[in-house]
Amino acid sequence: MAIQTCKEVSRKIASDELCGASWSQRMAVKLHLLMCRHCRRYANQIDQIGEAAKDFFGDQPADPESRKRLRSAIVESFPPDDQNDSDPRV
Amino acid sequence: MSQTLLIDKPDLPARIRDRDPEALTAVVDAYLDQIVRAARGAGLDPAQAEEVAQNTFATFIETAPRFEGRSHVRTWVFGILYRKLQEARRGFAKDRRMDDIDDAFESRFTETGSWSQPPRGPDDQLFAKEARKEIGDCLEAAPENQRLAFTFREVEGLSTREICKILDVSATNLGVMLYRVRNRLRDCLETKWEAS
Repeated sequence: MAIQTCKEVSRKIASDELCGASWSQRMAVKLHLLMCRHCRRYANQIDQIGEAAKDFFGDQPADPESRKRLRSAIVESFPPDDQNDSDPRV
Repeated sequence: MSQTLLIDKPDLPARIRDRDPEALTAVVDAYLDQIVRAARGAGLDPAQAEEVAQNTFATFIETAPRFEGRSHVRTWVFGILYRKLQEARRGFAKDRRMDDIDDAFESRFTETGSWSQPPRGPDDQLFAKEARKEIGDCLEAAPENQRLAFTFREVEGLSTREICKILDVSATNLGVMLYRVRNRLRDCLETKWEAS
């Protein structure tokens, strides 16, 4: 297995390339992270950024009134039931 | 509760095709919040996000008879959202071939690929706190399509495979978008940290 550079490892981490990678490829990155504190820090920061985004959007729940209004507007726009029944399927 | 179950039932695609109101309502209830949140994540204000969500479901209902069920209904609905966002905002063009952030990333490494400017910033715990405070600002500065990919991945927790289908891009393209947006956010946080 070729030795990976820090640049390759950090690019793989940020691009989520490891999700579809083989076990040995994931292992190689894990080993690199064990040995390299800069890449470890980079990987942690990338993780934290994802967590921060999750919290950021989780902290802004939709206003219940406007959500209710929006839902009704959508549901009321459904085609009437009888139209469906007469709709001939080809 | 029954609606959550309905969304996972195998006859859902057929019921959607028939525009069965119960099935359509189940889809709206299952994904309305996510659609609005994703539109907000992509940079729309609350009113715009609601409008785009409404348009998304209008098109979903209109095109329901063509839903074949080959992909998950969520993928289908989010795909419609993406096309609505493209119609609403010019920034939603496909990712550019060149992006400043690529050079910024390159410049942090030596020719042999080791860090020449290692990541800076506070220790992990403090970085987490800092990131929570500043992420909103930093997101605003990122291109909209990258933000959307990032929101799908990190906030909605979708698989990269599903996001590729929604955005109609290859895995490589999605990887580039995610790598660009994450580096952009990381650089932004690093700059903010150093300025304070």
